[in-house]
Amino acid sequence: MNVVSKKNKTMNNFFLNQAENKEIFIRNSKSFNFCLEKNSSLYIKNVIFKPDNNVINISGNFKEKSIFKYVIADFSPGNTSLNINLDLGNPGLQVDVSIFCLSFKDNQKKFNICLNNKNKNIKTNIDSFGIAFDQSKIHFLNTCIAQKKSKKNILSQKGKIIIFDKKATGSIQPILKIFENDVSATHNASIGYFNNDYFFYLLSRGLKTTDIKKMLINGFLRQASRFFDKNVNEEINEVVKKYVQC
Amino acid sequence: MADKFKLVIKNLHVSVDKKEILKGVNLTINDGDKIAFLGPNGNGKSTLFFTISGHPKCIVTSGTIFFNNIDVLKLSVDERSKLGIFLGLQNPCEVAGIINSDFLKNIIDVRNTVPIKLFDFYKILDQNCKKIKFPFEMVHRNLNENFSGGEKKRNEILQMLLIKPKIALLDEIDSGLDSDAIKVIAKVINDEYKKNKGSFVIISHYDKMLELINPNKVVVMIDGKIVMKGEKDLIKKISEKGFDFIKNSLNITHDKQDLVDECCFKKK
Repeated sequence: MNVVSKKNKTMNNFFLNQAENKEIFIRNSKSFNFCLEKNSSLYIKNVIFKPDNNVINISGNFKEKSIFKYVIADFSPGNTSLNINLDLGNPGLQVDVSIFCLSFKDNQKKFNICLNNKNKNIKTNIDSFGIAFDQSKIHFLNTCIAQKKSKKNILSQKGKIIIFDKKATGSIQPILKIFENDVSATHNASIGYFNNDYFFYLLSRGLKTTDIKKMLINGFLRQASRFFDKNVNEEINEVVKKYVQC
Repeated sequence: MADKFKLVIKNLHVSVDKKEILKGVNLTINDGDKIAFLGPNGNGKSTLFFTISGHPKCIVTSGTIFFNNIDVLKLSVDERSKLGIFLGLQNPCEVAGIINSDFLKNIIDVRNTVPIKLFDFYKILDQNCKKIKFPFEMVHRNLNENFSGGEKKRNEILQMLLIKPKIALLDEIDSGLDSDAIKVIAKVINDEYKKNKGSFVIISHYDKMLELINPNKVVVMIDGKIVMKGEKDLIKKISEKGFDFIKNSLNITHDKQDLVDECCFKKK
């Protein structure tokens, strides 16, 4: 195994050799640095259950044509702050970040992703999806920058927050800063209140508010579950059942 | 169909956004009725449906609705549904985050003490999707999200088939459907009527739909009141002469602009 992991409570370091591929599962919040050699690929799957103030900082170095994929499913009944700040200085890089977040009570979830493209043929993608219950807050700040010389870059962002309860709030800032002409970029963001008309429609089919809440969470879990194996998904289901007092 | 039922509406006055829309509705829906519910746009037909179903915007200022001896107005929206009242909407909501199949299974489960087995559910779902020519893959998408107008209507009918209500209130269930789809939906309604009886109250502006449905009663609402009841031949008369002949014969004059747009329920 060529992955070196320092046994540090707050920080892990991952070093991948040339053309090496690695998939790593992280439970709960862990900040980490990574260094990817040419043609290597690092795929991190992160699930947060712990009722804690979760702070995650991610930074890394990329060599030519390396790939970094990161998916985080945050079901923790606590606050979360995720910061990913990556400078993409070599050609042919690929970064894919997917965020799934459920927030309850008065929890605050902040996700700040900044991908700074500085070379040609780089692909970056950020998908963020959250459901805010009770009085909780979700905030996605997604920034993709295509600097000069970042020719033939492809940037995409998708953001979606469903606000279930009247006192919950959510915000998405999908930011694209493009300083190069030869770039393809897409972004969309939507925040939907689960308003009275939705409730009436679903209640008029005989469902109760608790049934509606469960269905929303099921829909959410189904999207997140494709990234994780069966055991983790079973654990996610159990934990969510416990935390969601339907 | 088990026991016979009767929904009785008496002197119902309803306001929406502080404007009186229904001005003393009297109507009885009996078990086995197939009613064509007609009237010009913006005269309160949809408001009556929404009131029966319990939409919070419809404020009942006076009058009663009884289902047999049960006071419907005292029930919550979900309780009215479980009682057997189904409202098929003209413009159903698009609900992001809820998967259609999950929703369809849940609306069956809430009516039973034991949840339906997944295998049985998919079998029933498949049979009913075929019946209404609804592509099966649509059940795996989010509820009504990015469905076409016709797909939304079929999804409403699919829900009706799964729930098997006693009274189905179908609000312009044919709008947005092509002529072949109208035939399919009309056939499904007729088959359900033959098989399970129950009652259907159908708002439609299409003669073809009404012809295919073959109602046994016709009710006309103008200016928030039931102004005429009759049989099938009334549809032909309205189709030829419009609603003016009723207004003229009953001396009804009202300015439609005074009415709250029915669509306040429909566009969200």
